[in-house]
Amino acid sequence: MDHDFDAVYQRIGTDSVKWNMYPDDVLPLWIAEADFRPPEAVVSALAERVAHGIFGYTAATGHASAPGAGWTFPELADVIVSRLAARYQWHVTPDDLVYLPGVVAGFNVACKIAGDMGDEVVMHAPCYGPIQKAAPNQGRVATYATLREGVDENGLRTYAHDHDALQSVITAKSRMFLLCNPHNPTGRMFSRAELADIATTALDHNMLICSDEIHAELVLSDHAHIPIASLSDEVAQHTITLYSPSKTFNIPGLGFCVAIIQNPALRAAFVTAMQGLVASPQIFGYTGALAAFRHGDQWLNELTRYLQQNQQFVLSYMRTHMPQLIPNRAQGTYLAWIDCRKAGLPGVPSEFFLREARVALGNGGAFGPAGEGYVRLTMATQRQTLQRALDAMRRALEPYS
Amino acid sequence: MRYDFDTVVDRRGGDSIKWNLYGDGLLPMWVADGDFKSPQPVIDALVARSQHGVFGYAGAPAELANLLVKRMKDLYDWTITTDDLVYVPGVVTGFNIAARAVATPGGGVLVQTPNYPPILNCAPNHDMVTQTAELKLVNKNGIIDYQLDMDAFSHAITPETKIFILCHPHNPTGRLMNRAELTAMAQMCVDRGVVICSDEIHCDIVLDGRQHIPTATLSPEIAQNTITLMAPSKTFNIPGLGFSFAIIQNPQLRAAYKKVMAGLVPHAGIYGYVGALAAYRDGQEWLTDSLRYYEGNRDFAVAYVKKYMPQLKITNPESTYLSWVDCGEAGIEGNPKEYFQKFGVALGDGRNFGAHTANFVRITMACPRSLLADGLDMMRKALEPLS
Repeated sequence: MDHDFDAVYQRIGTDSVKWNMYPDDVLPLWIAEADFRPPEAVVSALAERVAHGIFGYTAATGHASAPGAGWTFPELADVIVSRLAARYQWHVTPDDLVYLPGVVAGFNVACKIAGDMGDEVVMHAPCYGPIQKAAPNQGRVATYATLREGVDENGLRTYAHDHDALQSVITAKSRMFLLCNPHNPTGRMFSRAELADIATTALDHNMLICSDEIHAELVLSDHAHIPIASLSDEVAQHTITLYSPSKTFNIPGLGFCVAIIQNPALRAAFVTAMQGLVASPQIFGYTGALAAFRHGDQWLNELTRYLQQNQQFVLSYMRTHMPQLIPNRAQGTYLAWIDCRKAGLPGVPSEFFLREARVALGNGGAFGPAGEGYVRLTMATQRQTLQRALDAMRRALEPYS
Repeated sequence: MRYDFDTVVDRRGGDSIKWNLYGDGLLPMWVADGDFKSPQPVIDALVARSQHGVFGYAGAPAELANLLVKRMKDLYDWTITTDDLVYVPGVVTGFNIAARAVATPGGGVLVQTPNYPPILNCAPNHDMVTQTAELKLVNKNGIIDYQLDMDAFSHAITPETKIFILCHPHNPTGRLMNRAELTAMAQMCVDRGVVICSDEIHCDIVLDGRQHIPTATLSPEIAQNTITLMAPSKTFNIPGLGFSFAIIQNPQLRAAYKKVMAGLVPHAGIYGYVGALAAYRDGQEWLTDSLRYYEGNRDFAVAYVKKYMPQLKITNPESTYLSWVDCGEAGIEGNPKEYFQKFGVALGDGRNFGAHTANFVRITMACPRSLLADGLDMMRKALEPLS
């Protein structure tokens, strides 16, 4: 390995939200953010840009080849287009790209153009909190197709898309399916059959699809990520896909995301809804994204191995020392989603672990009612930090075993 | 002067929209973006942050809020609290949020013309109605100026008017409204139930020792009715870092503002916070020097136009680094911006600034004086065949 993922960075007292939300003695494994330094090429590209010293307006467009419109970062669109083709055999053009400061803004804009006020946006449950909030933020109503919970042969928690649950929640007011794939918090990478069921249902009811694929490149299993828009041209015509280097290369603080919208009318509506409210990414978002996509893949391969080992470590630790907790085995993302309902804990599990173990975890209830009794644990940290957190959780559980 | 504003830094081929929009052949003086390096403390802070190397979700430094509170007190004797601050990525986003916070589709958005194009575009962005009050153009010996026309202002307000977006100091005219003018407008807005959004992005670029008066400082009643937008973007030439802030002292108005932001408007990125903090804390020397330089550039441009292009009428701005030029008597057929472009200089297109502005161009003078001279020389050459 070229990159030392075991190296610990002092992040307490920096601008890190992750490390400063709680007192200094708390280990933060709550937010979906890694503690790793990004690829060196990203760091050096940023350093070089900073040294230039002038920080004026920048505005990239996806139209790299359009005359007079390659404005800034003209190579970025081609890099993204090539990457999607190479990784997913998904063929888009620079014209299909719309740059944004983040995926949250992206799916909020999507909700803003999904039908009218009071219309419904369908999503899985449990689901990432900001996805749930996007619908009401934009005057829409969130409805939920609850994932089917199960247990695998190793006693691990599993989830599956549920055809019947989706059918039962569709109404005449359903205007969009807001998908999160790979799924946060369960780590599911939906299969082609599951995605086809979602897409068919959406198209049958003339619904849009917005697919948050921010975790697309964080694959812990032998599954392949399938962008839902790559299922067919027809699906592509109804889909807004959100893609970003933020999680992949651990650069959320740079603020870059790209929406891929192949239907020109849909893209125009999306861009119109952004006007004045959702600004272009800034210099460092573009700079970091370009360097990461171009030069980050070896780092990403090494990261993936490190995360797989972290996951193995977490699962085996929990099986051995905390059998009363039932984790999943995330196929994608770096998140562990842990069912604490049989552990007999007093109150909300995340509050229990914060208080008794000094470990900050994501509160399952923040992922909707289907997440109550769960915690989400971010595994993207140095193994020694993970070990300290698990040791502390284990000790906190001892009185309850 | 400690800082050197005369050195030309090559920005061609980089990520500058100013220098890339028209390609390499043209000298760009259109967008309000300076060609100067940022204050050294800003660059140093950005370098240090880059070296840290981990770029996770970043919160705003507490020191920044305290610094802004103190800055308002020191500069304007304006007492605000950290609770009154709302960070946004830019003032354009800032006034668009304001419109949505107080008006619904069909509501009236009052603006003055001429004006900064994104202010004029705000109402249509949200299916609202633009209501226009023109400023009165006056001409004194070839120097043009704009005055507040309170009759026009009053007539433009209707029962549908929900918000007045004020640009103060004013872009593109460089007018710095005085206390009497501001009070007349602001009090009328209060009396007629119109919220004020005061875009004060140029508040620090006031020339000849003038004093900027934030609209919200006029009276407690006006403060309760006002959303103020400020930013280090123009002040320290860091628009690309994406940091601005709103000051909203009325809690209900602030809550409505934050509600519109939810989900759509992300917080500033890491570099926005780092740059803003360093600029406001340690950038004063650069700012002082830059103001002297802008005054020199303005005086140079005004003298140049008077001497070599008397057929043009130019502003003598009290604030901003912008020149607003009436080309109506220069004999140019068609759009002056397009015409000057053929001679190598890309200027701001007057047509984007509202009604009765088709004969105008805007010149951004935030550049080394040699470039300003080059641009003016090109304009002069362009006019020669016409005289």
